Amino acid sequence: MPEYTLPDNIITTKLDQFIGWARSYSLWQYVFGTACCAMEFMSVSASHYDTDRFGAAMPRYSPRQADMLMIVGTITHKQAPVLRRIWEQMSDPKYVIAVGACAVSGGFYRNYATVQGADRIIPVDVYVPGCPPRPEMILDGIMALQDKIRKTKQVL
Amino acid sequence: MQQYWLLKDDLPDIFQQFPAISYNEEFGQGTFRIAATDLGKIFDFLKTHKSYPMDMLTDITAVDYLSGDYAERPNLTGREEDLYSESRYDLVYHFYSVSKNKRIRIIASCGGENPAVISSYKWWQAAHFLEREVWDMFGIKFENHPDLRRVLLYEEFEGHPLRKDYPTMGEQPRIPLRNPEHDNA
Repeated sequence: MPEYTLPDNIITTKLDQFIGWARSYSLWQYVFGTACCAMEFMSVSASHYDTDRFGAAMPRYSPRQADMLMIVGTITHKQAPVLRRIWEQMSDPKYVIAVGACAVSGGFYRNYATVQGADRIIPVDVYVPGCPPRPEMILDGIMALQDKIRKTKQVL
Repeated sequence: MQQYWLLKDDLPDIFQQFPAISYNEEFGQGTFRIAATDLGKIFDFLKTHKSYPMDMLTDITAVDYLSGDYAERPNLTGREEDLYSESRYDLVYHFYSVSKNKRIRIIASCGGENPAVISSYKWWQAAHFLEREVWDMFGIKFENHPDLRRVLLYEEFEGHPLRKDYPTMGEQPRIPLRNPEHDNA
């Protein structure tokens, strides 16, 4: 049997890895910015830090077009049904990043108004702590999510 | 330095009109304390004052003195009777005279089972949201308010969170909450 080689312009991979690679670089985001962390997020998405480098540069203002929900700020009990509905409206596969101490755990608020972490409402993939987090930390969170997407079994 | 706050000597007529008024002064700011039943009269008085017409209502807020640790309120001791004490809450009004650049602070006590005072909406329309907030947080009713609903919290919230007898961590979730630590175990 003659030895058979592919031409140079053809690369082989596994389907899971290929889809994971594609998904990890097209994170269209829905930004649920509710508090001061949203200011920090604006500087992250602007050109100086630039989430576009990670394929996460498309803020969608409809959850139906978004892959990644970024919870940026304090979540109150009054807002909880809104956040829940937005997450339900997103189509699969969907990922959630909680940015900032308040979205991660309620932060320093422990009172009648504040939900003690966004994961009390919806499942969260990546937690970015900080009050507010440095832009580098948010980028690190996006990279951690990309890593997670590439390593998971892709649901088709 | 210019004096921004109206002090005792600036308003001799307020003591004639309201003999029961009491006054104290700290940090150069005067505080006039009146009975809650006199509120309507003092709104009239301030709004139409000749030298210092108070044309702007800056803020309304309230203070709950339930703990009773305050030297000036020795009558608040036992908890049960404190709940319905007639002087449990202090309503604090801040007024500003735009034309004269002067401010004044009025305090009135209220309490009882259903604390209620007269609404100042008739005199200052700014009172609309301010009184709704005080109702939301302290549960003090304002009579003749056009639309006394909660302003910050949601409709189904029970109780008034800034009252001292509201539990510190009393949450009232609107949707069933997850328990991630339990669910992931």
